[in-house]
Amino acid sequence: MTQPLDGDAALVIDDLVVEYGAPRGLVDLALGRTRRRVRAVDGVSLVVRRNETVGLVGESGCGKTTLGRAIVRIVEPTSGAISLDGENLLTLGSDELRAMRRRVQMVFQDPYSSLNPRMSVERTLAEVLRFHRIRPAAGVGDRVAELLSLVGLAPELAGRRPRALSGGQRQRVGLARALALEPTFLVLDEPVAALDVSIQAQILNLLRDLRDRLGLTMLFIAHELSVIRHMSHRVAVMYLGRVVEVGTAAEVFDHPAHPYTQGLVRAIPRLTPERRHRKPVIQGEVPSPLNIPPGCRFHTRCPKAQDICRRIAPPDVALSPSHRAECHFPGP
Amino acid sequence: MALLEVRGLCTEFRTPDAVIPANAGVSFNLDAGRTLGIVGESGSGKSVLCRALLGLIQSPPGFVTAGEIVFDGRDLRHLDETTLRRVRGTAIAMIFQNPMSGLNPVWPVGDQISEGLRVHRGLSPSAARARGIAMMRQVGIPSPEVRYDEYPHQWSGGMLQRAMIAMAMACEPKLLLADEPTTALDVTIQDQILALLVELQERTGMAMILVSHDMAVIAETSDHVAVMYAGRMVEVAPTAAAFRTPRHPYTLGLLQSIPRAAGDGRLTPIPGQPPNLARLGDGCPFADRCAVASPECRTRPVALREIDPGHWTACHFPERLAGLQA
Repeated sequence: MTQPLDGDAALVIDDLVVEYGAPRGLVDLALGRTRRRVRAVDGVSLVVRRNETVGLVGESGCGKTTLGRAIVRIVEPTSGAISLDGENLLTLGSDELRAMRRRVQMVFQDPYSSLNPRMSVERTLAEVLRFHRIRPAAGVGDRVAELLSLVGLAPELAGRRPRALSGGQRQRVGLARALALEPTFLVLDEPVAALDVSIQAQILNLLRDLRDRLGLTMLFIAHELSVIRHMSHRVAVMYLGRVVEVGTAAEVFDHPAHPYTQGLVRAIPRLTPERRHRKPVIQGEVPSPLNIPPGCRFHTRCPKAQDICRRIAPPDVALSPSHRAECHFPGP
Repeated sequence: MALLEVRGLCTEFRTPDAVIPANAGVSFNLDAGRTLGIVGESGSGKSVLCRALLGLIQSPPGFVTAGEIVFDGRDLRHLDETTLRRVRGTAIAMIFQNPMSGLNPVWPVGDQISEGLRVHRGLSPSAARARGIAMMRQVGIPSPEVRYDEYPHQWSGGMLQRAMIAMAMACEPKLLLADEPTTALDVTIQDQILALLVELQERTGMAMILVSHDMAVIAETSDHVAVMYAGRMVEVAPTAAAFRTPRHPYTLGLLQSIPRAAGDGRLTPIPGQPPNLARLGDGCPFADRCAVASPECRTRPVALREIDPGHWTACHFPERLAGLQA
């Protein structure tokens, strides 16, 4: 997918760190140990330009969801900065935070758990509009109808509760709720992961239409590489809390420079009907975030790892003006 | 002769309000050493089929109402519970999407892997332990001597799935049913598990039924593909034929819904949603979502028929698909 690489920065993330306290077991309590800290996001810098979609991809526990949540301040970052349109999101007071939340909205993987089961679609949307006083009371009904049509939901569904909707319909409601506030920036966390492939295609088409029509800027978080590629102008690959490679979708998928990205791309099953006779590309498992390996955090699984990788954290290497990788030995 | 021959299998679930035909006349053959990939979306009946094959449908509310399941010359539906249990423990094994559902959380993993060897093969505890450790090594579990005595909560999802595979393989089954075995796993771990399954199959010559919602997983692992929709098989074909020249509009629709590498442009989703199984009419269950359906498709019953050698479709008008393919 092509897209201008210049353009103003909308979202700027600078050296962001998010730590959680790890749960303490009985033994820890008995021995009076203090809570250990888990660095879910460990020094991430990333820019999303206006009208751009940046795909954030990685495996479970890599920190992609935490990063998304830090942007909408569902979790509080430990250090670093996040700004939107030049305004620092991390220093906002509660009134400003409320105003900010109109501009930045989040869409979740499972709309079933993020929708109130006792509220109809209509009430869910109307409540958002009233709470944020988006429309005078008299205009709420019209705006609800408008939102439903925007996300392709038939007006007859307005009276239904989430239970009476299919997964695809629920995700449309989740989208309508996010769009009710007329945001400029959407954080989408695995928005199609729970959907069957035929329904997933409907939602991906809808997201691309809405993006073009409303001029939305997006951070699109997913573990599925084909979905990321389909949606994103640029792609950032996360591993154990860091962005290890970033570039245009074509750069990252066609010419991956980091051995982790290379392995990830080769590990995806292909639609070509040929029986596989290949060895797994990446051996072993992701280390615990409580115990991040020294040097390059990928060295325990990396086919290219040398002595230096075990000792020294890799530099951030520029491979083109838009393509960077954190690796001692980047490239094919 | 085929290792497994399934004829007209019907399974329904009865609720106070409705009868839901989850499998409506499923038929297929599977030869020894081969892999059948079963693909379909949620609610298409693929997991119910696996459970029905093993006699594991909970009843009530589920009832297998018709059909034959001939495995190795015997109809499993006519075996008594004791014999069936022995078949399940030794000749047919199953692994699931969530390995925790098949493991006891308060029992060491190694003992669970070797349980079948003690119960079905009569091995002594020490012989079973030695064999269990060998199985763990075979499926790529590191330091099996130490990990034998660990509990499931100490293991990652990928390692637990390896343990399930070791458990399934312990008695050298002739048939392995794998129901979404990699769906809960990350892509690099999925890659490892699929490679392991293919390798084990080549080494042991077992047959495999691999159920997945992911067409690509099926494409890489299966000799034949069965596509399920609304409780029936709508297309059965050699894998290459099913992917290159699908002869059912649902199969084609699935393939066209998947984002491809060259990611520009719009996808072609299948419009609408799967039908309510409790309210199916006589006609083709896909007719309402089908791009090439005629009015008669909604009323005229449709059954699987062979239109090329080995290639079966449950479509009245497969020739109409020629115009839709890129």
